[in-house]
Amino acid sequence: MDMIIATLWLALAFVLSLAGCAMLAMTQKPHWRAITDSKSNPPKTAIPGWLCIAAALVPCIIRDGISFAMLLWPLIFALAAFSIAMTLTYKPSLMRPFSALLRS
Amino acid sequence: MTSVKSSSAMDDAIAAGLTGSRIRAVADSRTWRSVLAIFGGYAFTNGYVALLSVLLVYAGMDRGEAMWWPVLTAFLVFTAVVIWAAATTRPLLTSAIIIGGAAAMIAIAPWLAAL
Amino acid sequence: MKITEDFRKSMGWLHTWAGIAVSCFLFMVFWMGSLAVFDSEIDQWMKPELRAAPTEASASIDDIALPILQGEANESPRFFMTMPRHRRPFYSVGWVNGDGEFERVQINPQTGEKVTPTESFAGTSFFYPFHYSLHLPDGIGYWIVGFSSVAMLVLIVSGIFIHRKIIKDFFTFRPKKQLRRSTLDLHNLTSMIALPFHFIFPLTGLIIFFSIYLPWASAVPFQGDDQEKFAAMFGNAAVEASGDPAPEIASLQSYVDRAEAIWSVRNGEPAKVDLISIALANDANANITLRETFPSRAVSMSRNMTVFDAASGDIISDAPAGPGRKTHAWLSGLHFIQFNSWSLRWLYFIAGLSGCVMIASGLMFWMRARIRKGVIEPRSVRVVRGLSIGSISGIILSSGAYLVTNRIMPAQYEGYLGLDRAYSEVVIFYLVWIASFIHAAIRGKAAWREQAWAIAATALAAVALNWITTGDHPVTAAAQGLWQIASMDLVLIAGAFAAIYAARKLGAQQPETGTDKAAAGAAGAAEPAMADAAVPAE
Repeated sequence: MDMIIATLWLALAFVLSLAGCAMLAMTQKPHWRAITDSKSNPPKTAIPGWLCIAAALVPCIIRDGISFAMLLWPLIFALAAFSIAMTLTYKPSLMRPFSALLRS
Repeated sequence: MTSVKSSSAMDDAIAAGLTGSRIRAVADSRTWRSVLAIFGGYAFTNGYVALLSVLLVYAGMDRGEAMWWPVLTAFLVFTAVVIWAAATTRPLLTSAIIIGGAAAMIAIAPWLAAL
Repeated sequence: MKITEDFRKSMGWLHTWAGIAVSCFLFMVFWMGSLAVFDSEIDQWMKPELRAAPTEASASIDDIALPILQGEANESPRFFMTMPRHRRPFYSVGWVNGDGEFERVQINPQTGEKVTPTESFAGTSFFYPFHYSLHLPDGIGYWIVGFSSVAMLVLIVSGIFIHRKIIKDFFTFRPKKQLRRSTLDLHNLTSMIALPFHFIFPLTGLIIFFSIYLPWASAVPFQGDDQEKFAAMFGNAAVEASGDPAPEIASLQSYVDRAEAIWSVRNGEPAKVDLISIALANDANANITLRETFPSRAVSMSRNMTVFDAASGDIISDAPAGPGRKTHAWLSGLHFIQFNSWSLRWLYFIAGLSGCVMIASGLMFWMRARIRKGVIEPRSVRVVRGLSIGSISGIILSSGAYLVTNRIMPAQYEGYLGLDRAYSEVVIFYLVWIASFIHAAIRGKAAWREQAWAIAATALAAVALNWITTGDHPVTAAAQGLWQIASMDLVLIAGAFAAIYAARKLGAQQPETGTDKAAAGAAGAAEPAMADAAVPAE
């Protein structure tokens, strides 16, 4: 049970980082256009993006305490950033539902 | 970088006091900058650690603790010196500060410690 | 400070040449460091006798230590003992034997019996020391690693300064663009995403070995007395030998209980002794040091340490750490990662490998930018390529060959030409490594692809041989709870696929054409500023 909860906190931190990185990437015109497959202008989601990334620190602290969290957080961010970069490279359309969510 | 035009008046003054533009050219060369960055940087870092640890002891810090703070920051100082040596537009002045600073700190630290 | 064009250019020059100077060494350090993240697991893979799921100890500390202390280690000036921990389920006891050599045994915590593992340096004594010493004689390796680490710090800082569009390029990877372009993308991507990691590791590595790198400077307040310096900095006891015979130690457990009680009160949480060491063990001034070197749920290492006088049982040294020592304990603990967190361990491993990719792609970009400058391949490119292939794919290949050799050599192998089994394995490692340099010199560019194939074959052979010699293929290993073995096999298989992918990719390389204006511009600049991402807005 403890292990499941610990894994869930980890997953939450990763998802928050992922969302944050996605929002940061979408502020860039080429990425936005690749995702939406349109000629529209990118949304201004940089600040919420950074906030999401910052918020990912919270589940890290809850899970492992501040000391471990200081290591976990940047490394989870790295993994999330890499995932977003690879998605943008090979299958940007995967991020379309998320972009629709932002537009509304 | 080899064609740095923004020379300072101070640099010119130092250069004129020596042998003029020849020394300036050497100081501006990449070979000299590399030597300055590596050896000057290393000497400067050692001087920094020696002097700061002695000063912290004088400031009343426990001797072990006074050792840790310079050690923990030493390699950041080294990095900064290397960046500066590579980037400076006043190579003579920078060389003088790095080498002179290193020599001064290395000389003063043991003298202060022995007081 | 305003970032001028001149400044950026000087940073580009610094980044390029510092990179060329140390990249080959840095790759070795990053590669071996990544392996060292799983050093104990590699030990268990290479020494099947150590494969055991973690268990509770039933033999007490005194049951294990006292017979050795009063028997084989009676005359030894030093003695140490480490407790079973999550990744190393055995007691480890060490002393100096009658021949003046250091002897070390592993003891099963349940039966109290000695384990005789396959003779091998394996992860903890080969890969891990390679990471910081390169196994070169007279400490040369430490200085090369130290120099490379400072250069790495400089590379990170200069890399940030030359990179104009950090956010813009952050998520960008364009594998279908010209090869030089995608190499640069990969370099930027792997550098940026794990930037704090790439900066803090060389920094903490340098701090860990400060007494080597700053020998004179850190001795000033102590007039060169190293023992006194370490006593003040780490809280060790500085005690001198008396020449009188040693007192008898009736129980170590009683010291453990006392130390744990002191620490628990001081920290407000339970603490556990994981290391006992006895200095001047054959002298009347013998002292017993108890440490919590690696707490399982904290980053900071060596937070708790108490030294007892062995004759009187009095506490000699028990200074609580000040803020400086605490900061150091956190920073070095971060580098040693002996705490119990599998998620962090895997993330470290991945980040370490991303560092390997960063270094390799940086070198490749430099070569590609150089080739573009002239029609004929310049000699500098051929030299750098030979060294790069040897130190990148060559060291990966020889690491794999080391594992394969370990499984092929029988456990009872005597060695040959006066070399014992453990050294024979190391000889194979170096022979394969040297061969990879020679191969690179002969085959040039094609050596990348050929060595990638060899890596894939070696990795798969290692998995197969582990199965044949121990019967533990990934499924049975996992079923027995030997996750460390199953994971290592799976990583080897994944590595083989990555190598096959790389080999095919390198085989299908399109010839370089001059259509990519951005890349041509970058190559035509006075310096091939590597991270100078002169990407035209698309």
